Amino acid sequence: MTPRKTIGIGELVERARNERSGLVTSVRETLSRIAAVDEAVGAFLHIDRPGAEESALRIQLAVSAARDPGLLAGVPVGIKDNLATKGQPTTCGSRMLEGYFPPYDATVVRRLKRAGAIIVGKLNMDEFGMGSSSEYSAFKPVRNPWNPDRVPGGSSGGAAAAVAAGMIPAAIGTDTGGSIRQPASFCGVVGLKPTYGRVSRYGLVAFASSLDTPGPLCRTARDCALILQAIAGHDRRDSTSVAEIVPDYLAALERGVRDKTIGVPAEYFDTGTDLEVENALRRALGVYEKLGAKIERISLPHTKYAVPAYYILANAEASSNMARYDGTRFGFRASAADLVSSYAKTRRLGFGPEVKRRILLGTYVLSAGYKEAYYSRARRVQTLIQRDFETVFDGGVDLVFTPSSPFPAFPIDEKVADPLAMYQADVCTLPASLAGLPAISVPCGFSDDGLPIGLQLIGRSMAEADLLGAAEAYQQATPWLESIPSQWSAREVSR
Amino acid sequence: MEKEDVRRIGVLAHIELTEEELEVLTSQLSEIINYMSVLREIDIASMPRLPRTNQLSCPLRSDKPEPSSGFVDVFLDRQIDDDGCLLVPSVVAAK
Repeated sequence: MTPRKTIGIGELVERARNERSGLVTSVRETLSRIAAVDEAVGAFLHIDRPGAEESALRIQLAVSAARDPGLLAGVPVGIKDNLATKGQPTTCGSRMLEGYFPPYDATVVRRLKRAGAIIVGKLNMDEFGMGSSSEYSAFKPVRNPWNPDRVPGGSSGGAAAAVAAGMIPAAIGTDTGGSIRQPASFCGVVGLKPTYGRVSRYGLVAFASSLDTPGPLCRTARDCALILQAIAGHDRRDSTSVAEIVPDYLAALERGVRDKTIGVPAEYFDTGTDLEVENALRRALGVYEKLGAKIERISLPHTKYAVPAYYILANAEASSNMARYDGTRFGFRASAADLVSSYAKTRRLGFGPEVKRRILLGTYVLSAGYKEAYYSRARRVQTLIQRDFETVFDGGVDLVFTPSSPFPAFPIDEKVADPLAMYQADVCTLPASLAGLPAISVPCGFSDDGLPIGLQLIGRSMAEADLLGAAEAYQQATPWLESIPSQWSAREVSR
Repeated sequence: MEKEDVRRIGVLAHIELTEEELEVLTSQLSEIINYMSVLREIDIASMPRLPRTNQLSCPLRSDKPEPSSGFVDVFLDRQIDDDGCLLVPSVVAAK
């Protein structure tokens, strides 16, 4: 790793607002950089060169006409490929949706465009969001910019890797059980999973509808705050979208952590956490203490049940949501002698192994004779996990502090043949997902092998501002932001 | 979980499985289901299901018809023949 020049989103917006020309050239440079760098990373599935150039031109025209070009004017943003983009491919990393062009934009995409962001393309991911390593993309695996032999995490691995490699300053990922936070941790960027309902799911291709949450991945908490400001808020097109006022997230960055109580749950450090992750987390706690936070040991006793409960509930929902892909309405279709055979053949050839495995698991736990033993029980365990968090927050804890992952990025191919090991890798991120709470992953150091380590902060429902404030305070007090994967250190990042 | 259980689930889920896939999946799914059985050790007799992931107000919109997507948008990637009919792939194989 080497020091780098970091350009924040705020500076990019200032440039776009003050330059009457040059934005189109700048966007072309971004696209060229993506083309040059992404061959080694595999973060993008599709690049929208004409759309990006047209957006840049529109912003330049707005600036020339003295119109407000928007909160994110001129900021290149990549979109995970499970969010609908009008007229642009939306494959979810699956052969099943190859060639599918949605006729509408997801609300998140629409709001980004309205804010002046430039959508540069669609980002690689585990098929339909099912995976923790981005190896389950049907098209190509994503490689970790810090070490190409390591996974970038998943399922938003393309989003995390694209930001980490300096291709784009911001990406939108989605998080069902950790799919923003774990790749953010593996790639050394900040990833925020908002409260379930804080950001609209309209246009997000469903994996597990009761858990899916879009959110930003950027290099800094400040950049995440700007992106969240643009995408958060009630959406009448999503009946699970929350009707709460969106606070000023930029102002919240100044909150810091003085006199806040940070709870450290023993259960997250009990088993399987690498010593170097534990040591990095301990040092980060020391930083928070110096910043004026009070550190308190807490217990979240049902943490160990989160992995089995999540994989029952999420797969049950997935088996239902995936039923729509039968070859008659979307994308891929395999022809057969009769209709039912056509469904079965389409789904055999169109889905990858992990999606099939999860559909089968979900079908099993919902089937007659097993639903009470698995699905219904897991729903009640979900209540217990949520009550664990309520208890600590009601007891005065402001933020819960944990690792984002028990270990840094693992080698490519290490877990791909062992699905249970892959599921267990999500142990740190699943509880907040099951409780619907906001959580953020922040880079907090490196392993001996030079791989990023991430800390996770979990907040009260709708307390994204507290998370961003705490993350910003930590980034201002530590040097990790100054590091970049060495192969790209010579270039100016961000644009 | 036995091989026949996996075969039956495959039929329920409309996923064709080869014998080789059945072998691998039987082993993998058995291991995962066995792992999930740890939930049986918790007493959940008095525990309600979580009604939904957040407990916040999510107002529904009024149930009034609104304009839908335009024809051009919806059929953007569909071919249209000389008679104005939409061309779609065949569902079952031609005999």
